[in-house]
Amino acid sequence: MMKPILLVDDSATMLASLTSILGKAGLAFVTAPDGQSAIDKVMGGLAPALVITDYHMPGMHGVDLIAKLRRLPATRFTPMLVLTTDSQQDKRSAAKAAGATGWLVKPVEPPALLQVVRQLVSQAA
Amino acid sequence: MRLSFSQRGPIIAAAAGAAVACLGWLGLPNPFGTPIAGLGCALLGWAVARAQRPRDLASNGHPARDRGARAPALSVVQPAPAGPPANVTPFPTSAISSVTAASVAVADAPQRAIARAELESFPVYVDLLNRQLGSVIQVSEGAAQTLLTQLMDVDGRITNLLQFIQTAGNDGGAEASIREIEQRLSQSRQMLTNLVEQQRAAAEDALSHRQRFAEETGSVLEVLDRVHRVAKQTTMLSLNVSIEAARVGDLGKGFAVIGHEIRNLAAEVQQLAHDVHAKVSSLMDSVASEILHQAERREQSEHEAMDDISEAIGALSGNLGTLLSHQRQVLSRVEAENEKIGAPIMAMMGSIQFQDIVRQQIEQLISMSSEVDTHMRLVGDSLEDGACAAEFETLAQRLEAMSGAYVMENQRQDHRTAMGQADAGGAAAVPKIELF
Repeated sequence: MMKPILLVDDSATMLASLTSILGKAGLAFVTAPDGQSAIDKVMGGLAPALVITDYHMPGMHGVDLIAKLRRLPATRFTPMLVLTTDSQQDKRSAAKAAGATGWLVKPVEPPALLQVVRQLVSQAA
Repeated sequence: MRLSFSQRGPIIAAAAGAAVACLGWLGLPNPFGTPIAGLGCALLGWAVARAQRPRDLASNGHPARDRGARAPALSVVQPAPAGPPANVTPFPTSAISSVTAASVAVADAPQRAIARAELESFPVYVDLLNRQLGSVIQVSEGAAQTLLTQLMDVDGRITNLLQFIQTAGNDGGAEASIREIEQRLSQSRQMLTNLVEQQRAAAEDALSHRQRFAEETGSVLEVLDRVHRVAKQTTMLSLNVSIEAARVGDLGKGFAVIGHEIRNLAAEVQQLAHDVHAKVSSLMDSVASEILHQAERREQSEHEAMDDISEAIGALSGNLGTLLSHQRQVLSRVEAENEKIGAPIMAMMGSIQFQDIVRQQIEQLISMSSEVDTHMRLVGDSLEDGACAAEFETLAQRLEAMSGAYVMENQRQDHRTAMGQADAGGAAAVPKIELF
């Protein structure tokens, strides 16, 4: 059974868009509206195949989330993408330093998103 | 009511600012390059226009109905100085500094009190604006969710329909039935071939029977020939008896009669053998001819029937093949259309993300309007307390400080353009998708 993809975003629209794209492509997913919820899910036993997180979220931003997830056994080696409207290079560099696998700028086109997701999921499998 | 240029200026600034803000929000090009600059102009222009209005109305002889107890005081208000006071530091950008200077220009004491009172009502406008913008976020988010839900519903229905067509075509449906019919037709064709072989064997058997009949008939004729030869020898023998009987005279008369009778009997046997031979020959020819004729007619009839059946089977098989081919074409087309329909639906699912981008931009505007609100309070305080405008952060400085919170490159670019700053460049080189 395929591991789910963990989607973290405070925007209901983004979560709906991403879940519809991944669902149509036949990929399993789990959603979380913020960073703490995502951490709780992982600590609760979730072992995602991939994490896609927004950058700007209330409470905890995406790079902090990635840094914390990297310290958890279940997600230590899980590929993690930041999906954000932000395109600043210094934030990308910070994400990379925190352990992010890649950086996607919104709006991301479904074929490009699926290509990256399939590539990372197959590498992680 | 006619307004002077100084009176119309802030109102025009407010209207123009609002228009620019609207253009910016709608994503249309505008001379300020950003909705934020428009928003600032709108807010400041509105504030100054509100501060000036009672005075303007008083000077034109029309008391302001909504001013209440403050209205009489407006009648003694003197026109504001033409330029900013010496202790006011103009803002670096022309659009913002001109409006700010206009607001600070109302610097005499009663005017300051009125301006401050008006500025105190500014948060109401900011709150109204923020509520309206918040409502835009909620409405657009709800609309995006509805669109996406309906889109997924359409996608689900199309997918189900296409799956039904594919299932009907592939699983135990028409193709399986056609396959079965084709198999049975093949069996029928094989049976027909076997039947033809059997008929050919039967024809050969009939020919063999005819030959055997001819052989048996021939043996009968040989027997008749032997009878005929025996009769001839008997005739010769009877002639010899007659000759010998004549040689002995009267004593041989009895033998002569016997010889004569034997000769007659032999002649009759010979005639009888001849007649039987002729009849057997005739019968043999007739029977052989009939057998041959019947065999030929039967073979021809059966051959024609076989040809008809074979042709019918061939036509049916061809029709089934056409049907099968057509069905395969339909399935192939369905699969192709499925992919064609799936691509734009998937693209629309991605395009819905625009709402999140708009949401973030509006949230930025809300933060910005709050900053302007704070600034306007300070300006009001400065009017009442006589504080120097340079003692607090200028609006331009506030906006500049906010620029660090921009998340999109186009926001930063718009900010630089509005603030008259040089283009930083290089941002376009950053890829939208980057794997580290």
